[in-house]
Amino acid sequence: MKTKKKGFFYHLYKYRVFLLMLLPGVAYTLLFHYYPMTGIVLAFKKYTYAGGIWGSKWNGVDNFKFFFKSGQALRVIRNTVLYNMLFIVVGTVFQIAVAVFLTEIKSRRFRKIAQSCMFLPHFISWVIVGVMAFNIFSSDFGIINRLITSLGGKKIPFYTKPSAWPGILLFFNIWKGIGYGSVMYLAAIMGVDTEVYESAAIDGANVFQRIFFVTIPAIMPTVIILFLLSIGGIFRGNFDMFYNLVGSNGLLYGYTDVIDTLAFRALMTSNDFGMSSAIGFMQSVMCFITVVSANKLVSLYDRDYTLF
Amino acid sequence: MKKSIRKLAALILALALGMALLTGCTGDGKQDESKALETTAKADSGEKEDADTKADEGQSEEQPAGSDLPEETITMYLLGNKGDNFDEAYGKINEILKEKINTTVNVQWIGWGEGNKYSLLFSSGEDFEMIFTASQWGNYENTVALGGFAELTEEMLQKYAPDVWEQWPAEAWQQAKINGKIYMIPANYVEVNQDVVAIRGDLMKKYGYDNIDSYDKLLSFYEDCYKDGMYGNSVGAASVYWLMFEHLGMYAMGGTPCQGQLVLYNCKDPKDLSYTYVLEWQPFIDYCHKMKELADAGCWPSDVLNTTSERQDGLVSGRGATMVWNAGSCQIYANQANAEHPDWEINLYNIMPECKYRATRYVNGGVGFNAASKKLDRALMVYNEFATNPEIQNLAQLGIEGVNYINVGDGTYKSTGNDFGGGSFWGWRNMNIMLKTYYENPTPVDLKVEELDKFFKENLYETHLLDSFTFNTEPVATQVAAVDAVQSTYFDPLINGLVEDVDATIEEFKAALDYAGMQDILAELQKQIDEYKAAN
Amino acid sequence: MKSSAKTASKNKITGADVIALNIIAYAFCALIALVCLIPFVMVVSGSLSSERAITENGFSILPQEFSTEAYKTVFKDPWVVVRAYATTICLTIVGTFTGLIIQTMTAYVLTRKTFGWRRYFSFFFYFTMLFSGGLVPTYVLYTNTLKLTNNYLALLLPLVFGVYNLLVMKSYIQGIPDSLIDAAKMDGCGEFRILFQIVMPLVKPALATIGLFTALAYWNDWNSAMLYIRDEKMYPLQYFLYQQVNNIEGYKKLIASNLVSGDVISAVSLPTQTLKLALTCVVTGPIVLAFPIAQRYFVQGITIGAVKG
Repeated sequence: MKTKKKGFFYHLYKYRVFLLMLLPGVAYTLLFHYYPMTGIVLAFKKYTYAGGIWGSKWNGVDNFKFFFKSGQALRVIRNTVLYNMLFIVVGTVFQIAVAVFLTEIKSRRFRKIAQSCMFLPHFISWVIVGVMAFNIFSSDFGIINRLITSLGGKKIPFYTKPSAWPGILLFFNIWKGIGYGSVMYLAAIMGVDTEVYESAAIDGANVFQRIFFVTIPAIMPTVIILFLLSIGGIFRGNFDMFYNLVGSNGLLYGYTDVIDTLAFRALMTSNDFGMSSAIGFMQSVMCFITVVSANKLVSLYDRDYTLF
Repeated sequence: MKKSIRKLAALILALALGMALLTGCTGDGKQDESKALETTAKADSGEKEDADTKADEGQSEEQPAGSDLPEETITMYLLGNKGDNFDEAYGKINEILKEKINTTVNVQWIGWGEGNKYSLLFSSGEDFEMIFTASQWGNYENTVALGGFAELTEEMLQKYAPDVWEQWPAEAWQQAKINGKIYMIPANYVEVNQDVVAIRGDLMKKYGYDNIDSYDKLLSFYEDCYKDGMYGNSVGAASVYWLMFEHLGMYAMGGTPCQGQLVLYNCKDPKDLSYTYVLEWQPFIDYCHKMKELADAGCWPSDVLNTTSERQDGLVSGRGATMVWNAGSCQIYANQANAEHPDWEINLYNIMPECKYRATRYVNGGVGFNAASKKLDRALMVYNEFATNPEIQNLAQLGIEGVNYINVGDGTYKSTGNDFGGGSFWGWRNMNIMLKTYYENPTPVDLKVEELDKFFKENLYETHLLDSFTFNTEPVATQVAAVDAVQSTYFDPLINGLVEDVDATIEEFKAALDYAGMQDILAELQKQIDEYKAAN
Repeated sequence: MKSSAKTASKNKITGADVIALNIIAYAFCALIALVCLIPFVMVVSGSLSSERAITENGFSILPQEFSTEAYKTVFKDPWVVVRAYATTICLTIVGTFTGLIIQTMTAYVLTRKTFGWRRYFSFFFYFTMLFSGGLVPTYVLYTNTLKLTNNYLALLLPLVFGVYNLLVMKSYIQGIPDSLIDAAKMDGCGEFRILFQIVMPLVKPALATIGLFTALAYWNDWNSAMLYIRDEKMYPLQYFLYQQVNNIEGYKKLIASNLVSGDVISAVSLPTQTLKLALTCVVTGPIVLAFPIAQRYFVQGITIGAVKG
């Protein structure tokens, strides 16, 4: 015990410069993240204004019940996880592909213009994307259906056909995130020492081999970190996207309802703080378990690639 | 540019100061004016004369006390945003308040659609006194449940808002009660927000209708329209759904889940205190079948559930033949479309002429008082002034005379087009003293609106005990949330006729709702209705 | 420095593999760029169309019934917009610089192998990404405990230290060989000097990336202003525009559900679809112009050897 204590103060002194550098970030995190975190107790309380966070009465797990009572809990959890997995895997592949190809392109002007264009969707809010999607897929004046009818085909009723939606949602998700996401990989590629490439070229590897055996391994730390960060949100649905693209079209819910949209519908009128905290807390716990396991797996491979 | 703005500001300031001086000197003259307004209001409603005279007495009693009061600032939250001339108008209001009760009102805003700010204000212990509220859509019930609003006792109201207490009908207070206690002052204002249908006259002629005066005729008109490749109603059947049960004399039960669309009560018979659960109600099942027929026939697009169009868009663009909305909204768009296409001859039709109608509830707008505030007495005095002083009422409602509106006389006004509206100025409305809209060159649509409005007001239902009832969801909060989560999965497709098999979907819907706890909710509802009956 | 260091295999320029790769790369990037560009062109055209045309026919590549109505609504009072722009620009600059310094400094410490507690601290930071107390306690903290209502700090603080950015930064710094830092240590450099003189120049692309993300977060933020700013003079651009659209939309929704009557209906005839589109253009414009500044760092590589020498 005694030696351990001594060890602590010894380390405190030894790490003083590091700790000084950490100070602003730690102070900020304590004040703006850990201090309000007491609000988590609301998930187990019947909130009242007069009682506030501490004075309100405990009500056990009552706040969690509505989610399971809706009878759709499993469906929305499944949808949330499957969509997120799809988005993570396909999104990562596309973003890395764009980053790799952009670095291989020699024309600087082309690279700059292409990259600028890819960033534009980031600025189009989901509300507008929703309207656009309606313009593309609606049965009357949707671009696709107009094209089909002009070619003499039969209209596809996208908005009454749930199975079309995973594809549509995937497309918009990739589209909106491609510029933003690829920048991170681009920066990682740019951070790789150029000498490594030159030596690979001298070794006689062709470009494809160079990409797969030099570039990709070199950006692996970034890929893994970003992957772990995404895993950390695997039980959270992107509410804005699902809500603006699908809206309140109950016909599509089987394929499109996620935890966040369900909670929104359930709590829209009552606006119950306890129940919304409960849903948030439940998602946090599930994400926590997933990410700790994933982090453990990664640490078996290489401890430096882990989140913590 | 900046200079000119500064100049303008200086000018406004100078004007305001001048006004202040003027009102200071000629306070008596203003008083006369407001009296005159009151007399016209009295002439309008002879019944209220007694109340008004008493009100005048109340005011004159209070006035000497006003100058003795310590100075206070009252913060009031409204929904929406500042219109033009808002600050000027409140400058004038504050002059009056300052003189009478030594108080200044400071207005803060919560934007439309920034709903969660409402509850945050109470959570953070923010310092404010008054806030707009309304039953159901305006957070009244849930704020009371969380202990946000102060209880207003009769003594308090009599003492600090005597004119309001005198003039407001007993029914208004009755509606504001939750568990027998009053937590808001409702506005003294009701209107008939009955949905009517704006229909293309040329198409009616074409298909051989001289009048569309029943629900069935409207549906058959939709079918005729489709034969021409025209949508009957481009936003689907959701708007027709309300007409369906209203023309049978049924209305949504206040406070029940899904905006009351699942549980109805019978307005035709004041003695009938039972509720109707729509999924077990034959007319609902028939309605769903009928809508499926119409949807399959193509009376509205198959993607109505996702449409971004608003109710009027189809009619105005010529893609739809009708629109369903309240008379005021139909009037605006019918006039607009007629002006662009005179050959369309759109007019408004009441498809349930044999029915009676229901007025909105008083609690559809009102003011709640922050339970944490220590200046409740003064806030009530402020409310009293807003609601019963015609001068303030007009300033707060319409803006500045001559700038935002013109008083045409006869208790009517004309807008100048300088928009003052933009906020929830409805919390203190008082029908007895409000000015009414004046139509300069009435179109056939305007005339029809006036006719309909008169007709509706003459044919109101008798007061039903359940009109003032609001279901308290608190004991079954879990079930209500679960039901809300399930509802739109089945309900919206059903009432728009978009499901494959109507009967099977209704069965599935019923089972899903039962799993979510619908039966608990209905049992609780029955219990609350029984208690309510016993208490009243 | 070479213009594009990554296309280093000059000696194999004519190889079949290089040609194949170039064809794939150009085609792939051009296609994606086009798919991203077209919708934005539609947004711009839409913002220059009449409200009626948009609600009736939907979006199109070219403006329909050319109209500047939406921009007139946005710029009704041009000085207010200019002030909102100024607020946002100042906020973005100050926030991005402060944020970059704190985030990089923290990330650096978390990568140092000589710092034995780095995993605990990483976890300490990461934990806040998973668990949060929700809106109520945060709101109470800002308005009641810190009294930051109507204070620019309430706009600056929420975004100044992002854990996501921190961890991405950490992964970039990890790419620097330890030997380089150890050598500097041997030469007697302190940690601060190593950070600012050796690490920072080496992670320029990363700084540009994280800086860009932080700047975008500030630029797009309307939520903090919605919660904490009451004084219209202090509104940043996004919130100024957002509340214009939102007010009209929210009000329309109320009228649509028959909750309030149509007698104060003048707001209904205002454009909302085109206003939303114009808003997107007004917000995105300056960013598109400023983007090349950050872009410089994504198109040229870093040679560690150069720094070493």
